[in-house]
Amino acid sequence: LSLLLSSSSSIYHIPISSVLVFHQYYEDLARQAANNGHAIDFFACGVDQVGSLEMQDLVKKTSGFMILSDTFKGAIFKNSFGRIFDIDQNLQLNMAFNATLEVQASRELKVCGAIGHCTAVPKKGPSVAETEIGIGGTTCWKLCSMDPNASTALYFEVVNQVRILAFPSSFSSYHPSFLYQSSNRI
Amino acid sequence: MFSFPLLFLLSSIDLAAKLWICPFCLQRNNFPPFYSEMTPNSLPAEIIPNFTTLEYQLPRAPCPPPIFLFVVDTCMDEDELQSVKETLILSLSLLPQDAMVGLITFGPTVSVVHLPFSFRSILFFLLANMHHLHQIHIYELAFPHCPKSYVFNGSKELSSKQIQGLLGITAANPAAGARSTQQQHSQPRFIVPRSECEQTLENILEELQRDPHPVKTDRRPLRSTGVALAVSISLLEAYVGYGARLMLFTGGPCTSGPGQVVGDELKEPIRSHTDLHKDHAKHVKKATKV
Repeated sequence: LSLLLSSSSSIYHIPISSVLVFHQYYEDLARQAANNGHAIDFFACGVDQVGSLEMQDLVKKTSGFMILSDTFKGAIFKNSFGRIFDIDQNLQLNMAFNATLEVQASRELKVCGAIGHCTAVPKKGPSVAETEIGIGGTTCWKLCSMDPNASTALYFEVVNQVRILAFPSSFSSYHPSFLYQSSNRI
Repeated sequence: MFSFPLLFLLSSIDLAAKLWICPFCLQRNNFPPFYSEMTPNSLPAEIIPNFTTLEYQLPRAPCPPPIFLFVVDTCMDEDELQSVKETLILSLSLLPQDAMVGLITFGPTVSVVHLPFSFRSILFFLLANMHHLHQIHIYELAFPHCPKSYVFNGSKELSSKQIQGLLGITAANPAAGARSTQQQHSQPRFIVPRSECEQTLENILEELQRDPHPVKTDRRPLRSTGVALAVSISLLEAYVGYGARLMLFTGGPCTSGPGQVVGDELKEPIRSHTDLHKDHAKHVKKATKV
């Protein structure tokens, strides 16, 4: 049996076309949770595989935490898990819940998409680009959960080259909104 | 074009007329009343170039407390489960006082805990646990007399409407946001503020046993992770507008019911990199859409 085990690093070399189409069941569940703004964390132990390839969308789409280790008894799991409940200088949990990221762009720019742990919220508008980079087709994404290290890359497309040369003042504005432990914030 | 105009660094501002123009929609706007005392020497923070990020705290109704729903696999080794139990009990003390918690355990079955205020009759729950095959337990955390858990078949796919019907809960309307406390009281309470159920939950966790079903030597334990997740997500659907984390603790792949990664017979090895590469993976293929 051990001969058949694969390391997780080798999974990254699978042709992308076959990876992208699996795990429909978990993907649907992930989408359902993300629509509700709920994050899913995945903690697994085991020397054999635990099926994280099929279940990765649960974590990726809802920006949850994933800890894979040989055992729950070890420091890897215990310390990492403890870090989730870190508190900040206000003595509140150092995380944000039910987060949404909305972007507005000036007329010269169109939004291609976002790369990060998020799910698109269907929101059509004049500033949605036809080319899709990452998770596109919208100007609004659910991040579900955020911590101070969370980052998302946004990709834009320049639509009016002439105008942008004449008036090099294109801009975009980002509106993350989230629930802090004790308050609504934007 | 946009739902609201934006005041920020690049907005053109007319201090004398107290007007500003949103650079996105080119709309002319008045300053809100609390900026009426603005002078060129005391500009609002929005248009000071050094401040690129502004955080507004909204004066909305009280923010709903965060929810932590623990979904625990009971098929893992005794000592692994012990470690998870200890970690969870420890993490309970790290949670804010008003945080809401819930517990779901799964093995061949899924069980949802109805958390009681008092903690008699834990035995009941354990006995009940022994007699069910292929189910998932959900614990109701606020039942006042004895611990009660709802048990689901772990091999059957249910829609979220069916699950909510069985649990006797209704999904919150996302537009309505967080629900009133009165509404919540009318439903069975699976997710309860930590301050109300800490002792009970600790007791349930301490008493939590490894799944009692015997596992043959040539089999993997039956683990219905797929149904457990479907049940948990549907349960949380009653709390749309709340911030929630679903924490799944598992000791192996899903071997039963929807979302199955590998069969329970050990002679069927789990898909390896080579299988994936050659597109041979049986269960993966079954779940593909193409």
